Amino acid sequence: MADEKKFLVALDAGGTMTDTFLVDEVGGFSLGKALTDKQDESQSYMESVSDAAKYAKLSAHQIHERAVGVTYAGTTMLNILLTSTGAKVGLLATKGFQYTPHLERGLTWLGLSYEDTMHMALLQHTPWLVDINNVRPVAERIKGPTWYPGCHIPPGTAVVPLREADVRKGVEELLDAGVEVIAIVFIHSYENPVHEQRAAEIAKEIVKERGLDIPVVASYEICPIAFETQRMKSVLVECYAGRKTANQLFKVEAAAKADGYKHELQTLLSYGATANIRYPRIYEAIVSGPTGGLLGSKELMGKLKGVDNLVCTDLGGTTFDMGLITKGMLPINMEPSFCGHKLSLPMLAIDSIGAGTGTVIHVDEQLKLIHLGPESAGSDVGTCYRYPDITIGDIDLILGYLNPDYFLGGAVKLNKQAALEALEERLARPLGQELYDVSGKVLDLLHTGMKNHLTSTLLSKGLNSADYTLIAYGGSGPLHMWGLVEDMDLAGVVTCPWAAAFSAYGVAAADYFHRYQKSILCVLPAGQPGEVWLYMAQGLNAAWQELKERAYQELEGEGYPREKVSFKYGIYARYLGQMVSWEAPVEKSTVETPEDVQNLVNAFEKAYTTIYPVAARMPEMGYAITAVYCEAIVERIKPAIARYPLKGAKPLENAYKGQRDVYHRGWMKFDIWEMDRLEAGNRIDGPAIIEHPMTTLVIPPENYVEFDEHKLISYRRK
Amino acid sequence: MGIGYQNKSLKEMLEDKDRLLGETGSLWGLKELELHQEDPAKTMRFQLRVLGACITSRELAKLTAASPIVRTVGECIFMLLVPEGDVAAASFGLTGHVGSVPLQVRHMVQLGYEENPGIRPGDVFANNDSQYGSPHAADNYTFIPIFYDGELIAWSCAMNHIGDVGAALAPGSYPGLTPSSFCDGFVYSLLKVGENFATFKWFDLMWERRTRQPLFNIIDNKMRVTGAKLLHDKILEIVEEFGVDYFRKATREILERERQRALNFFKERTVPGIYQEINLGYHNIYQGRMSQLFPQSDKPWLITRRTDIEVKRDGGVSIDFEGSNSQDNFGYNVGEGGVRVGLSFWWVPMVMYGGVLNTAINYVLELKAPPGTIFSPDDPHLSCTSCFHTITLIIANLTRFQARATNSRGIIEEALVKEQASALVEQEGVFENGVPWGFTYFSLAGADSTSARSYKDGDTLCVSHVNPESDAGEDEEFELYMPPLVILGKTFLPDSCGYGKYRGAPGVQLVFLILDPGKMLRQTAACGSSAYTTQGGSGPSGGYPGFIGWNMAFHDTNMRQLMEAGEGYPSTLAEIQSWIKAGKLKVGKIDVWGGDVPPSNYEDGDLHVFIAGSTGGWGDPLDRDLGLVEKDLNQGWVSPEANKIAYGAVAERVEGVWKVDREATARAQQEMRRRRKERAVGAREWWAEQRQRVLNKDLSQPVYNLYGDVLKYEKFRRQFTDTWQLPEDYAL
Amino acid sequence: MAEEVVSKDTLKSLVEGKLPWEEVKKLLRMPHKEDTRFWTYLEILQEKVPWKEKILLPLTDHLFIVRKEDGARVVKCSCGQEFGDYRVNWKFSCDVYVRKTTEEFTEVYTIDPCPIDPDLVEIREYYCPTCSTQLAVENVPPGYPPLFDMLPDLDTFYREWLGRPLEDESPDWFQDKTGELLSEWSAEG
Repeated sequence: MADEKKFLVALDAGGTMTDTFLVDEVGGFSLGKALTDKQDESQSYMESVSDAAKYAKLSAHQIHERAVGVTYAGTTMLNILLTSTGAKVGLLATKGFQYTPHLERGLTWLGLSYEDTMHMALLQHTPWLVDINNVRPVAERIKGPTWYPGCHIPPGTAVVPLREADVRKGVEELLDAGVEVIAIVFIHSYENPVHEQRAAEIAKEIVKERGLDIPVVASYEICPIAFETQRMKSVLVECYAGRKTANQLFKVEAAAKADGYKHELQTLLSYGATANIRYPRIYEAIVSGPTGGLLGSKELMGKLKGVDNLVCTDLGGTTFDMGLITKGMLPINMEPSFCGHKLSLPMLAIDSIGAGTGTVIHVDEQLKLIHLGPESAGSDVGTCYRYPDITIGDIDLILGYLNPDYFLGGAVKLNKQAALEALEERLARPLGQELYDVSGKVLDLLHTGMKNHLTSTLLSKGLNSADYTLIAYGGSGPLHMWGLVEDMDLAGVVTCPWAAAFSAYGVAAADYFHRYQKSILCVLPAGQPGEVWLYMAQGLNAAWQELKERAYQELEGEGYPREKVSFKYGIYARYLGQMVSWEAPVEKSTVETPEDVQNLVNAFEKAYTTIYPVAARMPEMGYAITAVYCEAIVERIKPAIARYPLKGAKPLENAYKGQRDVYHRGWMKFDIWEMDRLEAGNRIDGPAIIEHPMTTLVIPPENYVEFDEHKLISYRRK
Repeated sequence: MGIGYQNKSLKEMLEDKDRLLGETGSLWGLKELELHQEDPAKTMRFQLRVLGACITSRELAKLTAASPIVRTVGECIFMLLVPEGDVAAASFGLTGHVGSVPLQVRHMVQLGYEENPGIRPGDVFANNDSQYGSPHAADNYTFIPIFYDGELIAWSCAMNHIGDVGAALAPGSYPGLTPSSFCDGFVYSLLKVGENFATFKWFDLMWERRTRQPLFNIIDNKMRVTGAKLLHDKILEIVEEFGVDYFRKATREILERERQRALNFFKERTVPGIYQEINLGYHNIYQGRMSQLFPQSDKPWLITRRTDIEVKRDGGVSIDFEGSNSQDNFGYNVGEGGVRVGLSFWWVPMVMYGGVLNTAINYVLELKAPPGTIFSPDDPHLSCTSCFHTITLIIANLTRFQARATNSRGIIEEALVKEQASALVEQEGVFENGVPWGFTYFSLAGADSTSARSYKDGDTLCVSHVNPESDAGEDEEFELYMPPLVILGKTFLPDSCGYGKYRGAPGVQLVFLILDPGKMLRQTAACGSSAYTTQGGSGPSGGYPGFIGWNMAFHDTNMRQLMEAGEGYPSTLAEIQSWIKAGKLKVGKIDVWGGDVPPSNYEDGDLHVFIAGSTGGWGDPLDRDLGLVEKDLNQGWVSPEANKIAYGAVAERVEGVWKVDREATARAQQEMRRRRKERAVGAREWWAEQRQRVLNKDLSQPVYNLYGDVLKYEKFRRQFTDTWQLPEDYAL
Repeated sequence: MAEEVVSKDTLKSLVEGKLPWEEVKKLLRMPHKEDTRFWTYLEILQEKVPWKEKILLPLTDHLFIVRKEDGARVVKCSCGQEFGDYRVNWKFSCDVYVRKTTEEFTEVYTIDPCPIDPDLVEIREYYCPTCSTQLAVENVPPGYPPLFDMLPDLDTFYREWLGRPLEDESPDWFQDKTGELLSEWSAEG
């Protein structure tokens, strides 16, 4: 009975929309949407939940009372960085490195399109996270590690003692300047944090003496990882946006509780875990793009269908995002770039290009060239709605793929006539082409761009598309899926009825765990006996122990006793001389015998060769382990996916909505179906279009789709 | 029976192409771009597919590369060429290096490679010889012909920059001392190095025996072949998809269309006319090191890199290098391949950006250089190893011309001047335990600064001409590779910018401390430009040119004691100087190099200061907005003293914030204008003095030598004698 | 999409260095610069100068080639000072100050030690004789001929590129006449 049902609530707040995925314990779900309120996310949170509740024939209050968990992936962090509205940060840096955050390695092109990157005059430094006047130098130096073990001063040696006077002076001055938070980042502190620790003590004393409430954040605590620029940026993002973000999350939690929710709010971390919003390193809640989508794909396809090689694609109004799940492993990028900042934190690797229904079409009349993007109409769709320029959305409309009266379930009326005129005048005529034919070919361009992106991402990892199943989601995923996968060699193609809010579903499906990492340099020279390697690897034990201890403490803080915590371990390693390290999961967190070390090396080689051709191996150069990590996991309730009784291939009469003329490389009639009325077991043959209030699935003549027992939709060739 | 289209030989195809270009003015006589007119969307899709093929080939190939340069700075590139050698599409990466590729194929064709050694499916050709189109030995090119039905329809080409070329007198990819091409290291000329898409074993042995980092070099070669083969295969897929006729025609149409695009670019954004630009450098590291073995090289050179740029009626641009120095027994010579690459460092990010990367612009840029000049050496035994000193610096000339032109045209936003030089510190050493090591610190080559524009100040470390994805790297990582070097500071060098209404970028100063060098530590630096001369030339609208490349070393110091005594360390040049003044820092020998650093030894406690990336200003400093002056004061990029001297800005610090006193400043600027009047003389009077001076040959030795050389060239000689109204027989 | 046109106000604030970077980026991203740009630019500049002669082409921040009543095309400073025929390098009508010593260098390259070597280069500053504005700086070896920064081919520019031919076209307009002036000077001794 409905009123007994318990619910899981998950939200994915993007720059424009906040999506809700609401699911009961038997897998009955409904979706909600609301415009994101960037000033006060608790507002859009409530609206979106109410919207979903409506479809479930309940009130937000009833949902909250029966919710066993609410997870909210917010957008505050992104918004603060985009609008430069973060905290006033003070930074204590190793003397000589005060300008590191401003020089930022010259990485001025992060996040720019290929065209923009090539156009030198456009390159400009990212807005500062810390004012150049709020940095104070501290004389000190820890010696870093080297590739030549035993040839030079041991790593971690303090070659210049900490000048405490510099610390005192710096902190006093920064407090006088009125900073709201103090960051401490010293060179090679990941190797030996003793100077940062002492500096933090001093800073905290002074803050206390002054009776202030000003956090002091040292890099060794939140990001003990090599590379000073990235480490500094990571600490600065935490300081700049951390507190504000936490406050927004607490606001959302308060709103939920005020409406009857009895538990604590959880949020999504960049590496795809959920965590209680009391998590100490909230800057890890930076969520780049639709992280939820990968988690959803893993849960759905992995757990349900046992498919563990996935190409996860998300097509929205503005970007085409894709992530690869190989052998069930979520792809982690240790050096992601975010809003023009390169960071050292684990983030799900999602590659984006500017492509979507909002993508603007440029026509170069002189040279008869067509350029797509980089601008996008986003939710303004195109000339058919609220945008001045012609877009892909306009084309989707005039070719008949989109239904002008059923966009967002009819909430938005699209003006087909306006699109026709604009495309004729700005696309067809300048190129001297027939309107519908050239429009169709512009879609081919979009799809080719997406394919290039997809294949280069696969190939750049030495992977073969034939081993991968593609899953398409996002508002426009099903609409362009046909073009994306056309003549691609894939193991399968799948989408689902809740594609439009798939990321929110993924948020609900995420595991609860924390990931901890530490840089370390353990060099294993080629051709040395196992005993030498064992000696070289001794540092690993302590590092792992340290990480585990921190995990236990933090999880206790979030209400999980030690016995509830289980661990996964891994290393980052490379062949000596290489400039990049690769992640490799390992069995245990101790090295006691030469075999243990050999196992680490084997684990690395295994990971390396799953990603790269065996030809790329270079064992003759020896190995280096550059970091260790562990994941501390606790149990969490997952959304159930309903299993429906399989009906016949033939859909119910009332699912049929008639026919529409569609220009699909020539005019033809497409059958139109209503997504929500189709049942498990149904088969729909192309040419057909399946409409849903939030998305549209296009099936060309030579294809058909089948709904399985979970209403997952498999797209196949006839 | 040739291997080309309709059984023509490549030679015939090349001759046809040259003839048609001469007769019709367009590539292959393409008056109409038929495919493009018929169906632009299809040609765009074709273009996307070939671009995609190049990019994915690079992505995959990079994985098999070993050299740090490839992995971090991404120094490699993959290209699709038409049979005659023009690049029709290319990946990211070392985008500048596309320029010289057509030349290398042209050499192979004209040397009759079709008959001997023969060009067959699966063959692998390679070149790094400047005589045949590679800029210098560090730039290695690999070519694989693409056959379809027995016809050579295209080439795939891979290129990367290797870490050590095995030069005789200095290590690294960029060996500083090369008095003759016989000191260049491992140079090979257009070899067929493999068959069936695999290199012959002997080529590995050559790397093994002839270079210092054989392992890296062999793996890099493997990387180039792998990538070129991959591109070869992907191209054949595309040919299957579109048909070979379409492929042949479409690649040609891309090039002709891009040629037209380049012409339109100059017509749309510049002003036709003649622009004179020069750029200077002083290179003195050979002097005193060569006398015994290479006496002809034992001297310093003041080098002018002169470019007279003419933008012609049709939008074409001719670049005349006359007035530049002659070739000589040093590594600064540059062959046509090097020149083409140097030019692409300019036109890739500033003219042909966007769309698909190609070499069509080669037909828009006409090069003139009298034989025997540094820009067209006619002695094959002269070295081009340090050619980048010469070619990266002409970027300053070309961007200055472009900025003057675009600014006059009203395309102000694009008026970007870019003064440029390579800036590397190269080390080799031996630890106490006898283990040898070596490294090139390429941070400041990975990213450098932009100069002032007509509407904004210059920016420090924000771009790179070599690779659009600029990256100065992480010092915590660089220190892994050079254990005895501790970086004490990487900071802005205040007051080091060229001043102007808009100032250039303050440079970057690095301070290295040497700790426990062990048995030996030798260090050199390659800077290209020199602070002795500044970048030289005429700054736009009265702004001052910037300078790049300046090194100082402080030997026999008491750094150890200072650090142990808890005194900390100096992290900037200014601080080193004030510590010395204060008697706190004790130093013995001090070396100053306004440019390149010769191989020099370092001991424990020595300090090395390395400065790069100071760029020039735009406009009269007295026109500077005082708001910008305050900003510079408050951000510490320009000191109060400097602001007073350069802009007459009178400022004081109120509650920690600098404020400019408008009235006092106005008075000071009045005084400065008055001083200008007082100190200056009328042009005619000045001209008369100068004339006398030139007649009297009252010139310093380096300048005397310079004119003695460049006056050999008629056009410059005429300009010189006309300007100073000298007798016909004037000689130095 | 329809051709983007940069508004006069936008261009004006760019000329004045006041256009926000985000706006500048939009201009930089234009696939083509609009045909009318040059005319808008001339309007803006013409409104800024205190004199009436028609600007044919701006050369620097302060110098413009203008057409005189009598049809002469001369270089004119924003202050009104004229530098004569544009085919003669205008630097020969300036006041000139040359920095020859390290002391003099350090007044404009304010770093210590100043690495610039007086034996290799001198720094020439060219001022407007009336307003003393610094019109050009040359860092060149002593004795180097003053660089003729820009000799435009005005007739081709107006006829072929802008499609608005100048009425007094002549092949004579596109040549360097600096030599003529200097030979006069030497003749007069």
